[in-house]
Amino acid sequence: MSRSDRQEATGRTDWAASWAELGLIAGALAFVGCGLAQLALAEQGALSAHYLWPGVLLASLAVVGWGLLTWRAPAHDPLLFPIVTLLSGWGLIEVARLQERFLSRQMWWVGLGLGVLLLIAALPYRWYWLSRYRYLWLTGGLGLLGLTIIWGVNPLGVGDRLWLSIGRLFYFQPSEALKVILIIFMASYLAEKRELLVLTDLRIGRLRLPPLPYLGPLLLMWGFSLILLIWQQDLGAALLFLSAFLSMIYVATGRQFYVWAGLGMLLAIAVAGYYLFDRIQLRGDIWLDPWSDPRGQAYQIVQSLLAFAGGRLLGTGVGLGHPTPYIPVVHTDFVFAAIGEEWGMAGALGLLLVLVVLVVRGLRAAMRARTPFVSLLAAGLSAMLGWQSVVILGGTTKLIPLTGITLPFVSYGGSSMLVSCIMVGLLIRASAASQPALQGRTQ
Amino acid sequence: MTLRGTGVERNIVRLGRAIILCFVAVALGLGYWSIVRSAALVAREDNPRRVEAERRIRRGNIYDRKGRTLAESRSGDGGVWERLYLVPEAAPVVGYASIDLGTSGIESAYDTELRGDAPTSPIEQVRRELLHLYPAGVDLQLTLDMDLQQLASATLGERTGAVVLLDAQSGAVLAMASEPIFDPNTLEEDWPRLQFDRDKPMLNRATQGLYPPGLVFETLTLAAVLEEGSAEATTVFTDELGVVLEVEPPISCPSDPPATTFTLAEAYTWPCSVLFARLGLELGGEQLADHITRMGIGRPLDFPLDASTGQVLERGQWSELLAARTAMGAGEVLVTPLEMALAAATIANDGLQAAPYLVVAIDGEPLAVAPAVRRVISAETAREVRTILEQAFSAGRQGTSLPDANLAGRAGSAESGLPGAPPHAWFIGYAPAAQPRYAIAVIVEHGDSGWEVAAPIGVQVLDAAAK
Repeated sequence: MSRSDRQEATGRTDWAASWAELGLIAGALAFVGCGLAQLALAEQGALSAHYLWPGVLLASLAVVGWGLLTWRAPAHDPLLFPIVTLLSGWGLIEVARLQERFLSRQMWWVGLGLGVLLLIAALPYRWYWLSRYRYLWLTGGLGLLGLTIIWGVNPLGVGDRLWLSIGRLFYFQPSEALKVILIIFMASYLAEKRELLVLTDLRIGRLRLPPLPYLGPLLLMWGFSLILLIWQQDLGAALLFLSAFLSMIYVATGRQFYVWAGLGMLLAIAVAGYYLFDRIQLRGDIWLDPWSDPRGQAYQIVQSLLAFAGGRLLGTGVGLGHPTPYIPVVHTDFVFAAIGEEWGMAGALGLLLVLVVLVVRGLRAAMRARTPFVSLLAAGLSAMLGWQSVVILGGTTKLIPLTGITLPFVSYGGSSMLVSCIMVGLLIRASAASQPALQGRTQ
Repeated sequence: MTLRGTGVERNIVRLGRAIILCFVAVALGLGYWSIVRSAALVAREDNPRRVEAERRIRRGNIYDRKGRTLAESRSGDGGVWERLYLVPEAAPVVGYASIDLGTSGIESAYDTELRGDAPTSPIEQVRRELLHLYPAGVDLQLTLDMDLQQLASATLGERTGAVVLLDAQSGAVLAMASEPIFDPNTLEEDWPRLQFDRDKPMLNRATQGLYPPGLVFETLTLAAVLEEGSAEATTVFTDELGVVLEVEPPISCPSDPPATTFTLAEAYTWPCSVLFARLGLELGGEQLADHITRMGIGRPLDFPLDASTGQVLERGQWSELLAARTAMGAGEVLVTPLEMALAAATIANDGLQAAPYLVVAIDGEPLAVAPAVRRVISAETAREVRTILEQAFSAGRQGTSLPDANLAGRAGSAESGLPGAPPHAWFIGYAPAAQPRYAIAVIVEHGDSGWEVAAPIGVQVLDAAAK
């Protein structure tokens, strides 16, 4: 037994891990503080209070959060919360840098998000609630998404109407909520039916087909979500749902067949979509050859690539590059390009590393979980965070066609911030869940 | 119920590997754009960051010979520098530096120094890279004199033409005006108009304008004749030699010479002299051309500004007619005002020709280059020519409003080649008359009378210089 396993077994706070976590939080805050100070110097030539508040907010939330987690979830993974602190702080710097008028709004969302994260990680509720009422959650999520078809708005006034307006000030994107709800649903369903799925194959000669009756409800719910998303033309979210779905099926069954079948389906849909929908065709053409129309349709991706090129290894320095005004909607979809320009490849690689650690620690929690539901839930959440990052990062670096989704914690956007916080809150709780004191209350 | 032993752990590890693999792919993509393709993308014409970077480079200031600012960079908002031209009259020399339109003049010739692109130590390069510093250019000091430059430009006024004022001993260009002119401060706004302006304000007429020299060119023929010894200033000629020259077609003057017997010096002062055609014919085309080229006409110059090179002969074939006409400043001879100023300076400087130059110091360090001086004609010949030029100035200003200034020179007109258009008006000269220091060439396009139009400009500028 490793040392941490012993701690989990005894249920006492591992103070070494806890102090290490505080140290990491301090490091993250120092990084964010330096970034904000640099930004203040670059933008205003002096250290101003204006750029102080995001740092103060983040620092107080982080320290309170550390105390709360140490107290309520003693055995939790000490890396996850510092990473969230670092990423959301980095996000605050980027919003302050790129879309300054949204800074106060983003601060509200960070406050709300971290608050929800801590509640989810620290409150004594039962996993059972999540698992038991899976159809209720899913119906609610789909209902909200359905509402956007009728009452959907876009905060910018133009573009896809994927948001619901709450008092005209806050906007919420139901597809974000649906992400986490679908993962809960699938984790719950697969935890129950996993063995049936593995053991009862339909065999036709050497070919082993999945047992369709047991997959039915899953495919139905998932297909329904996908149809809604395609109706809304939210391709990025649809892609994420598919990748999370395949990841969870694979984790539950170990059958590569599902993965290849799913990817094959995706490819077929993509090719068909290319020829059927002008919009998808345009995206594809831009991806295949942005350089033939660098000032027209491909302007955004070309500017993104020019930003990376301008940043080179060490970047231009915070506030000294030109992500604004040249990259359209840089503060949401293209925040990585802004980081690549101002922090350089070194900073962007650092960001990738932090995201990888987040995913790996989430999967570690999945492996250590005591129940299949928590294990599948943690794996699904980690995979979702990982795929979401890869899809948007790959899009901004022209590795794959661009689909407009957010980079977890870093991009501007309230719904994304909130939902990412919920996801990591669940991961932190999962990492602490094998602790005996809490175990009694879990399923 | 746990998952131990069900293979789920293995599946999670594999999922993790797949995700990490995708992150590695992103990292490689990042490296491709940030490092491998960086230089090519940064250099793209349509990269707005190129312009943004340009605007953050502090170009060096440009000063005149007395340290007065001709062009400077002022810091604007957000680390951006603005280029200001405090003496727009110096535009023909200083040129412009525009992000959209490129550079010209000194701004172009010394772009590397002004931008600070000159190679620095590797340590400095690393320091700049680490601290994200934009290079700062070094300052230039020019030979121009702000006052004289402005005066030259103002005396030309609305007329189209050029003025070149040289320090005869050193070759320093003290003033180089060209009219009409452009304002480098408003170049971008004016560009659509400037581009198609038929008066060609973007052309530096002082160095790029190629003109027929006309009568003032007889000064060079005079120097050649005296240097060769084929005649002397006091040699007396008779009437018939100055009326008509029997070449094909014959050369004659619209009016007969004012005297029946005259010296070479006297003939030089007349507005038309068949005698010089005759002297040129006697000298022969090749020998004449040799002298003209030695004086600097048609000799490529090592000069920082775009400069045309004059021509003596278009197709390399001398005929009697061509030799005779060349000696009178007609024929196929084309000169730039700078070349004529250089010829005047050579005569003023006892036959020694100093190569013209524009830059005194870079970054406060005087350019330690010995002035390239070469002997063109003997000091004796130069003095003889000067004596005749003094007489020519006294004779020429008769009947004009020119003051009796302490200088010498010769004005004249040159057929422009445009049917019906008035001839160009020329003046070359130097001051002071006794101890020449400053030499000048003035041209006013289609100015008609050299003495009435070009000479007053030359006298005014020379006077101001000599004070």
